[in-house]
Amino acid sequence: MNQTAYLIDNLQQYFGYETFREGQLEIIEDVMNGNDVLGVLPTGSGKSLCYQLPAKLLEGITIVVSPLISLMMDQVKELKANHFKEVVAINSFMEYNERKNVLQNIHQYKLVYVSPEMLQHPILQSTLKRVHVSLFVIDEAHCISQWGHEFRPDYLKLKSIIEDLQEPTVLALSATATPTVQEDILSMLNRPSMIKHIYPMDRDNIIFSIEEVGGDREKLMIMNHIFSTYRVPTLVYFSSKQATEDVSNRLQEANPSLRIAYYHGGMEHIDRISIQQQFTNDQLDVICCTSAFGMGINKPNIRLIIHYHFPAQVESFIQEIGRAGRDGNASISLLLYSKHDIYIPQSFIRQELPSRTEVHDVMEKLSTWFKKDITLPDDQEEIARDFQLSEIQWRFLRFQLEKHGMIKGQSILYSELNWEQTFHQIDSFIQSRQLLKEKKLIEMVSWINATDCLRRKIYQNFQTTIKKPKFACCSNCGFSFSDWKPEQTQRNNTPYSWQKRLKRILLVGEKMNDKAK
Amino acid sequence: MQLLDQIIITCLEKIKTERSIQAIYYILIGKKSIQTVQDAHIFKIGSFYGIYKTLGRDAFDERILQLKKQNVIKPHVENTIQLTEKGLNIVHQQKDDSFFQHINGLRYSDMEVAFSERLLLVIQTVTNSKMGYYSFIPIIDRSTITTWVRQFFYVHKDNQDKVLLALYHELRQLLKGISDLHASIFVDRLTGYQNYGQSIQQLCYQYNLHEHDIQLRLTATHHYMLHEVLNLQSQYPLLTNFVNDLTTNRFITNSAKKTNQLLHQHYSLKQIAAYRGLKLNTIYDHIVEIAIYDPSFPLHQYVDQSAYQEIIAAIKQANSFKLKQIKQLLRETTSYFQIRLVIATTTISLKSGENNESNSLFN
Repeated sequence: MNQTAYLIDNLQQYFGYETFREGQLEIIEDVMNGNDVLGVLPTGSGKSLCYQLPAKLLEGITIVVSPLISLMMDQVKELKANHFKEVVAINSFMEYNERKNVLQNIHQYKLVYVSPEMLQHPILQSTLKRVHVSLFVIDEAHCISQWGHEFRPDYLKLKSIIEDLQEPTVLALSATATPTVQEDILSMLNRPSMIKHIYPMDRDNIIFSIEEVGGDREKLMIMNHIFSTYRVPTLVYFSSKQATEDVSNRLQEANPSLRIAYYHGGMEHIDRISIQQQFTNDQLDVICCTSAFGMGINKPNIRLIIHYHFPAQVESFIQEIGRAGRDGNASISLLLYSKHDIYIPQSFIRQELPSRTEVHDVMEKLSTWFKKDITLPDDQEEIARDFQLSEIQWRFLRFQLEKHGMIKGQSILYSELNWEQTFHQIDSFIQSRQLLKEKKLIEMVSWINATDCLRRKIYQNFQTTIKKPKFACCSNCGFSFSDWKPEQTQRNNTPYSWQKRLKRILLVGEKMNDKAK
Repeated sequence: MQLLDQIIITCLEKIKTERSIQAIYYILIGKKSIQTVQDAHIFKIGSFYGIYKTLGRDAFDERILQLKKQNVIKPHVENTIQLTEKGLNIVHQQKDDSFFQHINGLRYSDMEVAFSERLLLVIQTVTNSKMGYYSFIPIIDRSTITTWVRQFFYVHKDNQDKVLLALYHELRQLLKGISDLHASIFVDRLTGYQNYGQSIQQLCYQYNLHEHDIQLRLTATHHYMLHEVLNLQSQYPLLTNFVNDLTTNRFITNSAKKTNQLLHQHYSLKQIAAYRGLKLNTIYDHIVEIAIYDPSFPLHQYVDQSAYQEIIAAIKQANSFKLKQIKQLLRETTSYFQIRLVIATTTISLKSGENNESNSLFN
């Protein structure tokens, strides 16, 4: 049997798919032959299969470095639900004994998900050195470039970890990597000769639409109008948790026949799973959510993605709208834009990193501590509180101070000359990061304000050609909502007594002929 | 008035200005400290202990602020708060809500989460398995729960129909004993095959109730179920399996448990302290903890009859449970430890609270 046939065979056996999607086979073949690969595939194209299948087939362990714990957990749950059992996510939420148990039996797993931070753990490192790691995957590899510079410094240390693990095959995957970011990934991993498999990310079944409005009230009016006409699986994206709750409640009030809920990272596990699964299961029509929703969701018929707030960069936007229309049917991205909206991401960019005064104050305090022979507390949250910084700000600053040799572990290293210089270096670094983000934001806003083809424009930094749109192109090319005739969700009403509902749940599959009392 | 507000002012009416408002918060979230458990006991609000473990400090403070605005409570000295005339009237009117009959925090709060999560996950697992659908995403991911449910599933996997039928009958029987509102909320929360339960927020919308109310009413339903199942095991043979190993954690801390074991081996308190390398005061804390939970606690071994009478008299005279005030009225030789033990075991109430109904837990 040749390799292709062998792979297709196993694809069917383990994952139940008949054929590979675009790009998968090419990447998997290279990986199986021991070649390092950078794969850029559009969202929803089945990126994770590119390492899940090799993980099954290769001798030894596949490690997947993933940026978000929730994302890892979702993937593990889904794999387990689909009978891929030799998989585990090692994370900080694991109970001590559970983690110990996993590490002791690490050789029993085929696929191990970790965060870059967890990978720094000496015990995990020594455990991994004792086993055969055949494939090292960096999922969402653009994080190396996007975040590595800032508050996820551990992304920068992946290179040396790969060396320590005796150079397993490396696979870096991303859905949004511009040519600049691609080069960044190669150099950060010190793998200049990686084979690149770059696939066009334009989605020919998604229609781009932007409506400029005067303010929030008009956004609500437009949404109410749409929801009175269409009952289709819909996501509405917001930039704050509070807004998801408020607008969700108002939409529900105005559209009592629609089933609307909100979702954000602040909710309890059981509620997050319930909402996500109700949506997948067509028990819900609309979810008002933050960017916490959607990664790893597997629903082919999301028809409409509304941005009530727009994200701070084009890459995030492409990723979010990429959740629509995975079944290939006509789907819409609608961005509701009011001129004031820019203040939200702008202020976020400003507050994300510590200000000049904050950096100055922290360094001042550190030098006093040094002179009094005080060391840093062990608890990072406590330090952040002491300095009145957010945890993200402190993590960023700590990395900077470490990089400049001002602190090492819990001890403070001080030299007057160095101190001054470091302050200016950190300060100018912050300025340059903020500038870069503001540039990204301007790029996003200028796309919104474009008067020519939105489709061509949004993909222009990623690729040179685009496919011909399958249904319609964009609001600048003459699309209007009235042209859109999606299949509507059928709703089955179940407003029965609790007795009847209890029976339906528990005696599922039984004949319901006797009357509920 | 929101249920949470009613509970807060009910507690306040019992605690009066003896404690800061924080003490009520600690009781609601079930803080595992001897002070909080003792407060729950001496002020006879043990039924509220740990009934809202996920209540955030901010949300609690928000309710306090609202109650102040509504002129139901007002600040008193030293970070304490008291009820206004209006507040007192409300406290005396309320309580027809069956909620108050069902909750029993000191007894059930430690079992509640495990019981309800086992139930939810068993229902999801068995209904899906019966329909041959194994690719569902579990709604509970706490490993202690999933391990238990896995075992339950293996034991019963050959008679899933029977399990579901028994669950149906037992749950229906249980739910018939409570209001339709409580039963309906409970059923809406269940997840079955291709039918995911409602989130707390969805329930809020559907029943037009505040999030706190939904949480508290679910808790009350769980307490009620635990009570029925534990007391009528023969009527609930299947659900009994869900609670068998969940004994009420009678001693809040494991450390107190150890001290109790040594006590039963007739070691003296000093010996226990030396043996365990703990301070004598810590051992005293354990003894008070044991005294609260153990109805057969031999108080006379620590406080003789005359000292006991004097302490009771002093509490009445001070009309307070504040140790310092009581101690001032007593002989030098009476120790704080003795006063605490008497408070821990007494059932007397302070005056001016004409509401003297004794707590069901301690009679």
